[in-house]
Amino acid sequence: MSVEVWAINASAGEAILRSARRWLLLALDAGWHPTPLRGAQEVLRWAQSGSPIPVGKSYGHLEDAIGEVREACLAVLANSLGLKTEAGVSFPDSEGPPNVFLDRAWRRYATEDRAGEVIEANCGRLERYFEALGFSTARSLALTADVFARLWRDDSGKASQLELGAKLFKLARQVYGEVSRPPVRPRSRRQTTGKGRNLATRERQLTERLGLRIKSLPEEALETLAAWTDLDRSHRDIQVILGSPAGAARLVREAARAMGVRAELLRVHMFASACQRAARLALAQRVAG
Amino acid sequence: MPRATRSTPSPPSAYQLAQSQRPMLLGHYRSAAQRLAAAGRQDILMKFEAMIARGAAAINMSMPSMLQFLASGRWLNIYEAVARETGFKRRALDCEVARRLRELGEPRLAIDRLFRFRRDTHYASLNLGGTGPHARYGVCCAVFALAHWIPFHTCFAGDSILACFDAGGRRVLARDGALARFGTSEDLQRLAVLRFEDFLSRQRHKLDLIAMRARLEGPETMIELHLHGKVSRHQISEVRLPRERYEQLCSLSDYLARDPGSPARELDPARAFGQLKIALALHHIPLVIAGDH
Repeated sequence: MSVEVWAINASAGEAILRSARRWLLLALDAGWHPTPLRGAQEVLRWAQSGSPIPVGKSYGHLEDAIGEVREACLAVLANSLGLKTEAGVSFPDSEGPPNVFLDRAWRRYATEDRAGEVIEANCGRLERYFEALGFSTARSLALTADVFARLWRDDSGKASQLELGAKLFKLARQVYGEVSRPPVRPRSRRQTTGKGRNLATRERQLTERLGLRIKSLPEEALETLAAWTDLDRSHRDIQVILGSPAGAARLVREAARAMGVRAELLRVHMFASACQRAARLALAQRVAG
Repeated sequence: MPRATRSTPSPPSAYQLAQSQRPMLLGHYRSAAQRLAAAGRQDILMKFEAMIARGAAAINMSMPSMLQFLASGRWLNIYEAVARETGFKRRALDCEVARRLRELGEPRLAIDRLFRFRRDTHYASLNLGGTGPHARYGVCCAVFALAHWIPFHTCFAGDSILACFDAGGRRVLARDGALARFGTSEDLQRLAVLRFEDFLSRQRHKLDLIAMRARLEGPETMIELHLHGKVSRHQISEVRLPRERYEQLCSLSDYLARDPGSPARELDPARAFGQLKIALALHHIPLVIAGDH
């Protein structure tokens, strides 16, 4: 059975392996004897400290994976383990060229020279794009990270700034398309009747009309509107998200004025969902445009 | 002439969040204390609380991590380590951390946001004199006096990550459920009582300290502490190793001394152990051998 080196933290002398659905910890402390982990949550716990490097390389035999991980860790730990000073120790690469395995993993995922520059410049925009589409902050960041990972895999890190921006948002749309594809469900009887169809059409028309009215609102007001009309969240949750209750109330009133309705109506079922969709679409268009 | 005043640091938002849970926690604690008193366990409860109050903070780590900590002087969480490596800050840093953790990036960021942890929050566990959850999180148990982070550290009854996520990395504990187990430094004893009410009610005449330590330092039943701010080498009061592991390392070191050039990978821990002893002596940090529990 093949085994994947999922990530390595060479300075801790540890790596995480994955074989089918099993997670294993490979550690110098345990003499490189793999220890099974209970699941992904223990991997998360493992990754609380230090800087793990994602690897994603598969091996046909566990022994090959152990050999390469050990070699990479000893290359990094040579100084702290005093390997350089011990005569006759024949650890590979302890004094030789940089470790090939680590170097490859690092290159694949992390450091083109421009990586930092590209991430700094685009991270916020991409994150706002996903947030505007209704994802939570944590999910938006994870999706943004996925976009960058695809960009490096695609070797577009060398493209010009302009090309890069377009490429990033193309990838972001691709990621969005993959994660937001709704499950195929049989149509309900109500949907197949004229009444259901009319309802969907009316909702779409309402969203479009509201979208036209709110498109000139400042971004802050759109974000507040999107959060305020989320009926899955309680008032308390929304206050926590929006931070300043007084500021949020002002922005909600401003949005309601732009739509020509009373602020109390914004959290009424049906109307709230149309408002939310309109606000998110407006935000997404603004971020992408 | 105005007197120079020492500025008081503002509490981290995680602390404020934990503080907002206090009325609910107090209510639950009073009910638990009443139940224990009704069952004639008032003395046990008092002793238990006194033990908890004497607890320290501990971080378990591997021997190479400990060597790195001693050499660099700082214990870095994933945000700090990635920031040091890449120079990223704020959202770009979060994004890079998410990228490093691949499919587990989202749960990592979600839990940090749920508890409103800053990027300099470090996970530790309450230590009552043992070697912490070493079987899971590393053989070296670095012990710190909690006074360094008073009054703003926070705590969680259990391991927050193991409690909040299942084996597939999916969230299994809702926000309210997670926050019900979250408290400030002042709530530490109350949280511990709620967590161990069943255990306390089973103690008949005296508190079984060994059983209690085994529970409080077990990987799943521990009390997790969150240290908001830097964790430095000079804050370590001692480093503990479990006796059984210490003896194994000593015998491996004997083999290594006989054949220093051996390529056997089983001897790698002995190399790290040798360096660890030297580094601890260099920094005047005591190495304490403790019974497993």
